Amino acid sequence: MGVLLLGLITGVAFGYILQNVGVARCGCIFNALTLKDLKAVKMMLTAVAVGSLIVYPASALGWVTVGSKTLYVLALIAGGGLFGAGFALAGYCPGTALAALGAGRREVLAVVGGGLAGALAYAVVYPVLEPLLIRPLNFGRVSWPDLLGTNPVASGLVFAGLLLIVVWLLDARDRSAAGSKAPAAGTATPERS
Amino acid sequence: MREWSWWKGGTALGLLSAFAFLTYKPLGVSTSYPRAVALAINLVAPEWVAANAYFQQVLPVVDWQLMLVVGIVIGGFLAARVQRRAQGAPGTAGEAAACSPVAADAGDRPRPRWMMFLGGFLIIFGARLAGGCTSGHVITGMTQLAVASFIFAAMVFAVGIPMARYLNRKVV
Repeated sequence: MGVLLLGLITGVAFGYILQNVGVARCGCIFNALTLKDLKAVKMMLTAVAVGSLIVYPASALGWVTVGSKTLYVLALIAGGGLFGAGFALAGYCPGTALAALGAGRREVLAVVGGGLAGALAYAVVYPVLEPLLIRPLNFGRVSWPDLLGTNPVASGLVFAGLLLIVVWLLDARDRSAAGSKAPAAGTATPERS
Repeated sequence: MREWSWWKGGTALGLLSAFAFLTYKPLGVSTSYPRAVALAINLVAPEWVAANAYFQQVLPVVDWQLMLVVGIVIGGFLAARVQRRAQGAPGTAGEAAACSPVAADAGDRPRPRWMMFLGGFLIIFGARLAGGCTSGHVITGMTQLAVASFIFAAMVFAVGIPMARYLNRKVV
């Protein structure tokens, strides 16, 4: 019961953040994919950097096990490609769609409905796909420190530093792009509901 | 109220991600879609759910992540309420216009429902095949320095960017 309550509270904070940043709005994701405005990308990379700066020192103190994700190359390439196509079509990812639904964007029911249909379809075809895409080229839970033989904590902290530099460079790019189009900036479109 | 900046939102999300790591398990969303399907079908055809190889891994039970997903909807609702109160106007148009200097372009236009449905289908099918979505792979997996998540993220943008550019020109 405590775990379920913890999940609910974490989720409320998650949805609150997604809606407040504006990534729970298809335009923000879409503009990131067309490279017009990288706000969503900058936010995600900042989140990874901030998370790493806490999680890796905590793991050094033995407070948390960092873990990893399973490296099955074929399913990752196929799944990532399908996700990318769906991301552009929907303008939402599985989490932001739910925050948008809560925020009252009823049209997002189509995305969530499609997601539930996709989940059912995946369960149906899983026995066929598993031997084709998941079992071959499966290397288990491999992380970069495993592969490179580096210290995980040091790697995590260096990675966080690199991400912050990348984010700063992306922001400089966005600011110069916004500056060159200054007259159009902030133009509201009140006719859109 | 204007939307949060990327650094404010990113910092908040990073703190939440670390909180999830430290309190129970890292953030992830997409497993809850098949979980919800399993729970629903379990009400009418429990023997089919029990026999399905995927639902033997994603059992029809209410877990931490399903509650997380319910929380996301509530959190989105609360944030929108606060935003509307601050604006003193109903609707979400004002919040949309405030996103960025380029908010008033094709990206924010409503798109056909079939396209949203197909997009939703593909993001969940693709995420379940790859073992994570933007939360589980990009935020959590990259924090874990998981090689898998870097492949996933690279593929999402390798396909998503040309797809979005095509849609921007042709359809939306």
